[in-house]
Amino acid sequence: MKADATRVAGQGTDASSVCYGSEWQALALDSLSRLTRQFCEKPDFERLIEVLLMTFCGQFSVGDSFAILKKPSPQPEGHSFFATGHYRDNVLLTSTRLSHEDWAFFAQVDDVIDLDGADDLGEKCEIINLLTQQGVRLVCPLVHDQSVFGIIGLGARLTGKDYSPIDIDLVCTLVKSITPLVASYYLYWQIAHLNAWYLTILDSIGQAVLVFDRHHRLKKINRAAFELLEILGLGEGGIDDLIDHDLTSVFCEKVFGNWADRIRECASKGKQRVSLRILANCKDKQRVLSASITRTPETSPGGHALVVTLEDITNQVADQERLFELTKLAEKGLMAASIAHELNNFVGVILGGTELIEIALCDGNIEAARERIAKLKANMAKLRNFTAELTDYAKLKGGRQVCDLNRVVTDLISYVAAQEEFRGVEVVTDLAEALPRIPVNADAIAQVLVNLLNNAADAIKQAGREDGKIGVRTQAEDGWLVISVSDNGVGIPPEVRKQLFTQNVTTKEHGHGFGLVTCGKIIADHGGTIEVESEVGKGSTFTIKLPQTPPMAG
Amino acid sequence: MFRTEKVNEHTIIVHTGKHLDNSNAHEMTASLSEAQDAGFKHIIIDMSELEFLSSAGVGSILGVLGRSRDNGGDIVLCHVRDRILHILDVLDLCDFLTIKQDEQQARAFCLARD
Repeated sequence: MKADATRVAGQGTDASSVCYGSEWQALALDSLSRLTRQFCEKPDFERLIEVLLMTFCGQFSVGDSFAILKKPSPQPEGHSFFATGHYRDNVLLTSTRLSHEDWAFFAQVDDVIDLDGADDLGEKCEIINLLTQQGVRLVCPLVHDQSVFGIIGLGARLTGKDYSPIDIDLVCTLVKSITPLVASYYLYWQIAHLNAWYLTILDSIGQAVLVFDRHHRLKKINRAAFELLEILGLGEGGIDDLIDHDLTSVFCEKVFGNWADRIRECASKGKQRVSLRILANCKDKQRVLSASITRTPETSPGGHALVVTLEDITNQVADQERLFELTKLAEKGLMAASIAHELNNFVGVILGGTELIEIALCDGNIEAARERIAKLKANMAKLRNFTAELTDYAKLKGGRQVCDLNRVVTDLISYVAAQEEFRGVEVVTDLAEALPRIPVNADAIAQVLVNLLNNAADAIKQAGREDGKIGVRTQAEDGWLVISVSDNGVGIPPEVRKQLFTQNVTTKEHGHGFGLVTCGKIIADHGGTIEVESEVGKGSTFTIKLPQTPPMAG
Repeated sequence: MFRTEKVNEHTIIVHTGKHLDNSNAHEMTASLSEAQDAGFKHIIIDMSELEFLSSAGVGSILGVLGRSRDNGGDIVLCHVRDRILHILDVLDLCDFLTIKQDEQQARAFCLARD
């Protein structure tokens, strides 16, 4: 307080205001101290501001006073406004929005602003201009720790007198006394909004989320979790009833068996995240839940927490099983249909051929009959090849022996390179030295390689290339043996590439598509993978990866 | 809320308790506004029991005074004890507010204004 006022000084002083200066100030401070005590006992913030404004009104004989306060909004960096009090027709309070520039201006001023004759300030700050136009006389920014939390505005005095310097000094004292309360309440608002925001996010998550504290007591549960527990016949008393319950009573034995112990066990292992599949005994049937248990670090506030997420995957599991069965059936059906179709073609050709032979013999045309028989034999040979492939397919799981894959590759290349299809095609090998020997069905692997090499040769032939080139490479890589066969042929379109190892698809004019399906199954049987990279018009690379320690043959 | 007593269609009496301060200034404003909303131009505030009046208590009356006067009425204080009168004097409001000796004078004042 700057003034030692035994007498009110300044403009508008008259005989009636003499002598009561200190008593007058004491009245305001007494009112303020009561207000603060009342707020501490019952922190009703809106009431605090309203009574503060009444104190201003009573103390300075003012009819109109208002407060515009910053209120945190759920969006980061966003603010809404809380306006209270009354000022004329209240349009000022309902329409005023303070900008960042306004806040910055008040932070700099940090003092009561007497708007009487403050035209120069109005030029600098739009809000000051607006308040001046509305007849506001004093503006008091609520500034704490260089942050502005709002403004209090006072209208003209009812007695018609001006605010004296001592009045302004007292307003300043009252505002500065009350600002820490506003600041702390703003913080409370901010925390409450943030908490509400996080809870909204938690509730919007489709998965069930349950958060337990370090004593394994349930502290937070989202809407999805509650709904899931309700489906399982739990949580009859509502969400609030579940809060603070122990993990064992939430994951009760009747529904979850001994899963509570399993979850505790996972949590105690010190791993950050464990995924489990939980079986829950529901009222009507058993449900399958996909669970993830995450332990927050020990250093997190309140010690480590246990976050359990659950997803009811009963229907997905049933769908997957059904889909698997359907796929197997479809695969069998497709294959059977394809075999029947191929056999039918051969039978048709043979029947037609025998009829032609019969006609030739009836006509006594031995030469023609001989010619027909030769064609028939050629078709019979094709039929034999076809059935041989089917036999290979059935014999996927033959015996395994430890062998050198480089040897398999070199033997094979020396055999196939002499074939007619490989004429004009350069076969280049890049074989790793000291390739580990692994237990494989060498015949089956050779069959895969023959298939890949034949396909490569066909692709080059289809591309009509004269510089046809096939590369075969072996290498050891992170516990895997890798064999790649690349060519510069026609390439495989993306839509075909996706189904190459699962369905009977072919890019060849006379192919039936069993070859690569068989290859895929042989490699899978060895615990390996086969992948293809290809670009139409440039060529393809098939990469086989076999584990150095393959699984036992089934 | 404060006890009220209707005098006639334009006038109502609001009786204060022992104190009018931060703890009940809000209720006083609400009572006065309610009377104004009900159409009473004149409001007599009987302060016969009032022993303590704070700035906020004064503010609760001043906040609604303008509306009564704008409507051709007034807020009239009566039975104001010396210590309360002293506070109003300190706040320089004795000449601004209408203060009457007792309820009878207050009623007469209001009747004369009708």
